[in-house]
This record gives sequence, C-alpha cells and structure tokens, in this order.
Amino acid sequence: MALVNIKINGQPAQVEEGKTVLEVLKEIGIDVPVLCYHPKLTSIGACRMCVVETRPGVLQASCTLPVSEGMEIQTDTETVKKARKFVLNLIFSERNHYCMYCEMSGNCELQDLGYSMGLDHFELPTYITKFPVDTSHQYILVDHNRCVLCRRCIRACSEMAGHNVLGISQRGIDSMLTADLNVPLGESSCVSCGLCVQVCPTGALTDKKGVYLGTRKESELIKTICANCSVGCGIEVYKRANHIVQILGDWENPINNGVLCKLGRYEPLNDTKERITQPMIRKDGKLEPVTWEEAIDKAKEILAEKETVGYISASLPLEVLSKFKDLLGDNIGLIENTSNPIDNFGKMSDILSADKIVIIGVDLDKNFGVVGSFVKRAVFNDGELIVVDDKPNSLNKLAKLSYQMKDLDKAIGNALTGNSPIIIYSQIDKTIADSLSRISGKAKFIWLAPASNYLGAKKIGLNGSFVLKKNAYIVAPYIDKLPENLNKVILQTSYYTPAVESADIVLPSSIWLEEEGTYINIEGIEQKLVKVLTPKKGVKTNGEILSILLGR
Amino acid sequence: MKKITIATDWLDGCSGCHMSILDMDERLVELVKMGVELNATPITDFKEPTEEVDIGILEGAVSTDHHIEVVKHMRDKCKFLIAIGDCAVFGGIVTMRNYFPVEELLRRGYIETESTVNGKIPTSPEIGKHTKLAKAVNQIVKVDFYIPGCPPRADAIYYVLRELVEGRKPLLVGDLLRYD
Repeated sequence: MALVNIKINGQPAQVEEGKTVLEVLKEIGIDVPVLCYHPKLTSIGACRMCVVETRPGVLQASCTLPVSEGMEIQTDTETVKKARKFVLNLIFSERNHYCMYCEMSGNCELQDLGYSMGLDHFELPTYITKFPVDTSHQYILVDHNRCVLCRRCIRACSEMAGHNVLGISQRGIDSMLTADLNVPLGESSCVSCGLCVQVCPTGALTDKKGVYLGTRKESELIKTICANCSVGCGIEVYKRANHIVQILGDWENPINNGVLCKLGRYEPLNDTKERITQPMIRKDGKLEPVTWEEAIDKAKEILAEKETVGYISASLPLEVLSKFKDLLGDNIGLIENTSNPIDNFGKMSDILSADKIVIIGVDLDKNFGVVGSFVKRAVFNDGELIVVDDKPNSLNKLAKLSYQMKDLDKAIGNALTGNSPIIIYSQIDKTIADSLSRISGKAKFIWLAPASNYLGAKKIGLNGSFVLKKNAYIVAPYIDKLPENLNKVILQTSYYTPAVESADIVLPSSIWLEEEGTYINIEGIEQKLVKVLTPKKGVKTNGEILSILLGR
Repeated sequence: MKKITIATDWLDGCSGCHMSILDMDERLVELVKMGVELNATPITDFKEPTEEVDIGILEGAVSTDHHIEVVKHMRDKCKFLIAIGDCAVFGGIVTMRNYFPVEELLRRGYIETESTVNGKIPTSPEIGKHTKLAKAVNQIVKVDFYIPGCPPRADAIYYVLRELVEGRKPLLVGDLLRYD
C-alpha cells in the first residue's frame, strides 16, 4: 500500500493511502467524537460531529475524507471544538433528547457526547413537535422523538443484514425513518433480526423487553455462541441478576459478523415456555414430584436392566454427547437423525463471494436467518439467486430463477455455469441426495444441519445404527413427541410438553444458556459455548446428570 | 470572614433538587462556617429574597406566569444565578406537557383522571396561569451557571458552591455532570 505524507496537529506522519482521516486519527489514538459513523458500516458524513480543520477555517467530516499527500489536519483548534459543540447543540435541539425519561440513559452515545463535550445546557431552543412512537413491532420499539437521523439503522439493515427494510422519507427537518413504503414496522417486511437496534446510538430503536431490564453498563457481558441452530453465530449476552438483559451479535465473530436472526436475538429473552424444575416419577399412572436422589436411583434401576436404547438431541455440547455415549455404549441414536451426501463444507463468507447461489427447499427468512442475510447481501453484490422450492419462499422475490423441486437438476446445472457457485440446502430426501451427489467440481456447499451440534455428534460417531430395546433414555432440551412402543422412558428435558406426560421418569435439565461446552457449526468450525446463566433452582445441567449416572 | 448570601426558590419542579441541597448533609454546616448565609429558601421563613444576594438558585421549569415573576425577581436580586436540575436547565420532564394544549392538560389532570369525581379546574388568582410552553430558565433570563441532573448530585452542588465561595470558577466534569 502506498504511503502519503500528512501533518496531524503540526506533526508530520506517513499514513496509508486510501484510509480516511478518521481511521488514521483513531489508529494513532486521537479522540474524535462520532455519531453517525460506525466502524462496520459505510461512512456517510451525515452528522458532522467528526469535523477536522484541513485549512484554517475549512472544516471537513473526517469519516468520509480520504487522506492525501500534503494534507494538514488540525483536530483540536477552537474552530473545530466550537463547530463540534454547535453540531451537538443542533442535534439536541431537533427532537426530544431529555435523558431523564429515556430508558437508554446511561447507554446512549448522544448522552456520552454531551458529557464529554461538557454540554451543561441547551444553547438553542428545543423543537417541540411531537413525533410518533411506533409500537407495532413484536420486539422493537421505534421512538422517532429520540431519532437523530444518523441512518446507522438503515445502513445496518441494508449493508450488513441485507434486508433493506428501512429508509428515509421526506427531506430536511421533515426527514423520518421509514419502514418499507411508510408502513408501521410491525406490518413491514422486517424479519426481526434486530441489527438496527444494535447500532442505534440513542433511544430511537430499542428492544421492547430488554431496555426495561437494565442498561448494558450495569450488566455483565458474556461473549458466547448461539446454540439455537447449526450456524453457530457469535453473540454478546448482557446479563444481570441471572437474567438476560440483551443479546447482541458479535461483530468480531467471522461466522456472522455481528448479524443475528430473530431466533438468536429475541427468543431467549422472550421464552415463555414453562420450565420443569423438579424431578418426577410416574406413580400409579401419575407423575409425582420426587427428590433428585429418588429419581436418579430409579433411573439407575432401569439402566441396569441393559434393555435401554438412548436417544439424544444433537443440540447438546460435545462433552454431553460423549458422556451419553460412555453411559450407553453404541446403542444410541440422534433424535434429529438424517444423512448428508456431501462432506465438504463451505464457509459463510463463501456466500458473499458467490456468483450463483442455489437455495433448495428452505425459507431463509423463517429459518437460518443469518444465512438469509448473507444470501441477500450476495444478491446485492450482483450474485444470482436460484430458488428451488415447491412451497412459497420469501426469497423468491430476489431470485433470478425459481424452480420446482422436480427441476432441481436444471437449477443445479444452471448454477454450475457460474465461477463460484454455492448450494445451500437443509432437509434431504433421496431425490435431493441423488442430485447433490452427482455434482462434481467447483461448487461449494452449505448444509443447514438440523441441530446446533449435528456435525459434532457425527464427529464422535453418533449415528442411527442402533437396536431398538424395551426402554429408552431420551435427552433433549425440547421434545414434543416420544417414540412409540416403549416400556419405560427416562426423559431428561427442560420444558413441559405433551411428551413429558408419557414419560416414566422426568429429569429436569438445563437449556443451552445454562450449559457450556464445544459445538461444531455448519462450516466445521469448533466453538466454545460459554455458560451464561446459572441453572434454575431444581435443575441440573445435562453433563451433571450424566456424570451422576456414570458414577463419576 | 466575608458573608456570602444565597437565596433559593423553586418553580415547576418536584423539589428533588432541594432535597439534593439538603443531601449535602454536614457539608451544609461546612459551607455556613465558610460564611454562607441562606437568605431566603422554600424552607426558611423568608420565601423570596428581599435584598440583594450573591447567589440565586432556581429549581424547576418556567411553566406559569407566576414562575416568570419569580425568575425575574430572583434575577434582579442576585448577582450570580444558578439553574439546578434538568427542569431549570433544559426544561426537563415538565416539557412533556408541551406536546398538549394547556386546556387538554388541565382537563386531563383535574377532571378526567380515573380517581376524580366531579372535578373542576381551579381558577383562583392565587394559582399561576400556565404558559403555552414550559421552558428552561435560560429562555426567560440570563443564567450564569448550570448544574444539570435529575436530581443533580449533592456532590455537584457542594462542589459548585465551594468553588464560588472560595472565588474560583467551577467546571462540571465526570460524575458531577449528569443528565439523569
């Protein structure tokens, strides 16, 4: 990279050509206030908070100004300081930025700017127009009164999440954040990925539930992964008093680059399914609460009969799966058992660079939403989307070609004419398996495995080749139906479902947020799940229960 | 020892800022020992300054014609005027009412509240008439210093008074500058 000579506050410096002034200043540790700038989004120079002086009296936004030979930058002159404070005063005067009744107080970048610039009163009268508050969305609260029109949400929604739901309507002081063609957010094409809330610097876009549970500053931050599906996105969980306050996408995780889907960001916070919090044993045809000791003794009795087959969910950590194998030997099967004819795994980043993308039989707005985000981004990078689905598919509107399942080979044939085709599929039947196994050459594959640690389970040799026995020991955080024709069932699970009613022994186990261990995602990457919450009272972790049964 | 006289008054506020003044606790005695004399406050016999004071302190937003009088009177009587709390500094919570016409505000408050039976809007001349908008004090008169906060920390009030008593110019930074 070529270097250019510039001066920063009178000091000569050699910096890389092509960088912006803001990037250079940040690298050498000069503090520049920013508001509309976000390191993961394209800079647009909308707020003018980051202005620097390039010639006496000439102010330019450093976030969009590339460095050039001979440039002389002043970051700390009276003119710069005055201009920045004036900009801040203008922003504070435009809408309602009274911190005392904003839930984001203590968590707000605008407030932080006020503090750091010593803003102790408003120099300009405040604008008193009442803007609407849009409560129509299930998870996101839009308070236009708090909006500074920085457009971070719009850029995040289009550039990072690929959904292109948000935009600006009107101009100047009438500018309004708008969803689709000006409909309430809850009625728009929003898929609830929540990235807009993650990047909002003020209280304009907030998480309806999380914002009332505490601020990020008051919470403990835990970096972990989402174990809801096999993509394995990096998440940052803010927790307080053993409750989740908010879940953010981890910008640094190479799998999801900060993007999440509805399931990852909102499901854990809004989980209302009833948890089981005490062991139970069927007595006279009815499940009765018992102590852990009694339940474990009874389970050991059944296991000692040597007439037990094991079923375990591949959504559990490797360590738990291994212990299960230690306990029952090879006579175990996966609840989500399936088979995949392909054993090379593409990376999520391969989607972004693909020129032809085939999606087979999966609606990525409804499941595996982060993969959907990557596909949409690829389409806006001129990637060609080919959807193969017999059912209506949300991504059809972006597809260059749509095929019925019977024309799968045609679709694949078309894709293989590209230079870097990628094929994304989830459920596999014989036709799909046959078509896929005929593909040779450069195509990459993303298999959306049916459970979060499916590849992990396969790695340690769990498969479907077991013999049916009289009894079953079933380990699954959530299961709504038990296999039939069993004598006795030990069910280790987290939630009340109809399945619980037909079990003989119920062992209450933790959910993934209370677990820790190793997961292998769809790319074959091994990641650590870090324990976020202490298990509920009366509940043991899956590993703990298996250790007791193993006598360890 | 030089005497430094202070007068305080409240406008459309919740008295929380005056609570913060009292929250200085033993440091109030310290200030008195340094020569501070509380001339007129809502909790002393004299409610309004009758003679010129060194420092005037106002809490609350300017919301009625009476408040305008109080603010102007305080400005006339003090050499150095401090607005304390978000209402006096920015307009604060009180400005929520700016979104509604005064008539609607009074009707909702005195007649339509769920617990009210046969309510009526008070008309006594003893009570101030609402202005169209609730405003910060600096929109009416010149303010010399601001201590925002809801309420401002007792530490911030003490720091500012002490700096002034000792003849220095206060500057709020760090934990002393808060909007909530």
